Amino acid sequence: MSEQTSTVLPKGVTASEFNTAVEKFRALLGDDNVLVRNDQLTPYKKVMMPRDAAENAPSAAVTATTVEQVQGVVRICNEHKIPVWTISTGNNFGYGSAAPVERGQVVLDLKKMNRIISVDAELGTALVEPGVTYQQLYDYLEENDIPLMLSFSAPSAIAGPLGNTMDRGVGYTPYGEHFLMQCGMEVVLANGDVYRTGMGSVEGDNAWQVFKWGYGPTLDGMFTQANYGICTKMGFWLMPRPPVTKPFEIKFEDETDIADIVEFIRPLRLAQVIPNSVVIAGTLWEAATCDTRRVHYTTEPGATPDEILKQIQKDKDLGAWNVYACLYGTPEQVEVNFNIVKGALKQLGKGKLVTEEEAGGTQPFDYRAKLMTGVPNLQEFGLYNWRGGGGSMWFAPVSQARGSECDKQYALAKDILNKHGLDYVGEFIVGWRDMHHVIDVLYDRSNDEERKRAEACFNELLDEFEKRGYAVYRVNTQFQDRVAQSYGSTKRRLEHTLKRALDPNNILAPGKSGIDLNNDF
Amino acid sequence: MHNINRRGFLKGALYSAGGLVLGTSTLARAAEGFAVAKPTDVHLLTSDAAADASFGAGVQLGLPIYQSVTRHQAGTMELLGTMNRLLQQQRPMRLIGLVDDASAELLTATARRLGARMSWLARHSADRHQVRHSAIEGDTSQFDGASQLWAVHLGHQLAGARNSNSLNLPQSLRLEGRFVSFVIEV
Ligand SMILES: Cc1cc2nc3c(=O)[nH]c(=O)nc-3n(C[C@H](O)[C@H](O)[C@H](O)COP(=O)(O)OP(=O)(O)OC[C@H]3O[C@@H](n4cnc5c(N)ncnc54)[C@H](O)[C@@H]3O)c2cc1C
Repeated sequence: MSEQTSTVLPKGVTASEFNTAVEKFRALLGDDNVLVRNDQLTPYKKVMMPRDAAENAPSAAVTATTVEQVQGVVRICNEHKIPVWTISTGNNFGYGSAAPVERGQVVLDLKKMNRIISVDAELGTALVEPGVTYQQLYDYLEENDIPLMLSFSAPSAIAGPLGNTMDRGVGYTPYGEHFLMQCGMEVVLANGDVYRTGMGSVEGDNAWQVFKWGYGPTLDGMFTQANYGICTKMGFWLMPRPPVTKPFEIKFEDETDIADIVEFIRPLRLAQVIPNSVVIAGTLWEAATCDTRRVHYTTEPGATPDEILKQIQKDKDLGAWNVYACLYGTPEQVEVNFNIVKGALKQLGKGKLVTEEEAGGTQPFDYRAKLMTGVPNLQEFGLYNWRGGGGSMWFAPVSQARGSECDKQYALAKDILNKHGLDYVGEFIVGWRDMHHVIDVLYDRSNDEERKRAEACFNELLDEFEKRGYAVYRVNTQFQDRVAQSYGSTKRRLEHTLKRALDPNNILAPGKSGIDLNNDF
Repeated sequence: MHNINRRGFLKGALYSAGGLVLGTSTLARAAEGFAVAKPTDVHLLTSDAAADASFGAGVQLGLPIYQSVTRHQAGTMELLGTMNRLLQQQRPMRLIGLVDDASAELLTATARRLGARMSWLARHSADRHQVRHSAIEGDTSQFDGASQLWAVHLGHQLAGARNSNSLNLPQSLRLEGRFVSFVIEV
């Protein structure tokens, strides 16, 4: 077993050059913060994508604790042309985990920069460092009796607001579109400058966390899903915790119900009767999150037959589609809105309404209710045991919030997945006017044949969706360059022009979202 | 589940149960073959009873006679809590595990967060027809991976014993399913 030092090097960097850089990292950060041994790097190598893990193996990982140290890391990287891949809490499962986009990049792990710099209970704002987790913030709010509510991704307890927002992730409360709720960023640029967005550059200003736009060009979005800077602080808005929250579920019997469900939800969502990011989850998603394993039903390889899906639906008392929504406000507000929802459902003429009282603390209702009311949990990791084998890629195309669109996307995705012997394990997350259609492509990574199938499947999903004018909003690092192509060459040329201007040595996460000066642009 | 077994106790129990017979030459070889002879606490983490039985048997047989093992067989959240608690004690210990995929993701993330050294990480998939292994860190060719008793052999090796080929083991210790094995040292 491995006490040896990693032999992986950054692309185009000699061993002696790399060793010099490592010595400088040690002088800057201290020995404990420079990880080069194989057994220290193992967790940074565990990926869920189909390609060989060696392609994403880092050469080293370093941890910084101050902005000055981050500037120092950037300086050393420039001096030795070392590419650096930044993570905050580093739990980007299904999108690349904690591994870099390209073999040999040094991971800059900001987990130790974990100060909650401020929380303003009256204005409902927070300013945090990269390593702060949602759980840490939740505990802080509880301990200090601050009546604010968090919105987070499902791996809430271990993920964090800064990293999740930098990758434009989503949550399940009315503040579920996280980048929309971000307000103010501090970024270390490739030249070492520390840049603050919005009002943050004004001497003596105190409006950094309340007014997004500042003056002149507003650049926050440019740093997300990008490689133009390293974010060292982020502000965002928190929702006042309402006196009443009322999570509920509506179960629909048939997979063909999806179009009607979306038509039923959209007007309620647009009018803010239902204000949160509603989820419409398929049977397998819900079953897997409460410990249903494929092997309990079949050991045959390939896609799980529809009869078995129906059997699971019945055994676990699930819908073919399971809608989760929540109402927030005073008792009177919630009552009015709940009556509107019930009225609309009656008009629809199908769907079984389940309240929190009726669900009685059972899964999956319980964890869904927690996600919609800002209580961290990790229940959704059950997805990884459905098939087992450690392979997972999120296929996340965006669509209009229109029944016909969702119907089309669902049928197409299921067809392609089944053709490759894989299952549709998916949900729709209802945005304001869009849907994030999120499908977990689960496969056995220890089986080379299945790995190849999953890769072919993902390529076909991208290709076939693209032919119909759909593209994903986010993707794992193996496919980032491929997806960048879907968005066209004009956008890519502009992105590379910016990269050349801001990071001429191409040191910041080259390859992120397909932006890399080694590309031919 | 949480209990402490002394190897001597286990050996007695195994012999008296008559189920598991360990060849003396192998025992001798295992006893002299500890890769790590440091007196550290050893914790065994498994996510189900079958893994605990087969992998756990291998680990116990592979450890020095004086070495105690604390066994933790539990669901994902409990294992995560255990690992957090153990790693924060900041004293030398070894965690050896065979867990399901959900637990593995969370335990690996915890190891990274707490800066623990992970000297072994591998995936295993076994059914009636075949057994497959793929290492993220480590070399899976070093144990008898083709056998239906792969989990015992794996546990034996990860505990530090050199060679488990001549272990004479009952078929009841076969293990099917998809698992991730790991060794964490602090
Ligand atoms: C079961 C399950 C359910 C999930 N559900 C959701 C969900 O509901 N919503 C969702 O959004 N995701 C979901 N995910 C995916 C993912 O785990 C989350 O998005 C998670 O929040 C991302 O990890 P993180 O917060 O630790 O961010 P990190 O991993 O720290 O960061 C994410 C990415 O942002 C960039 N980045 C991070 N920090 C910086 C920085 N300081 N400067 C510049 N760039 C940076 C990097 O490219 C990094 O890879 C789910 C995953 C699983 C396993």
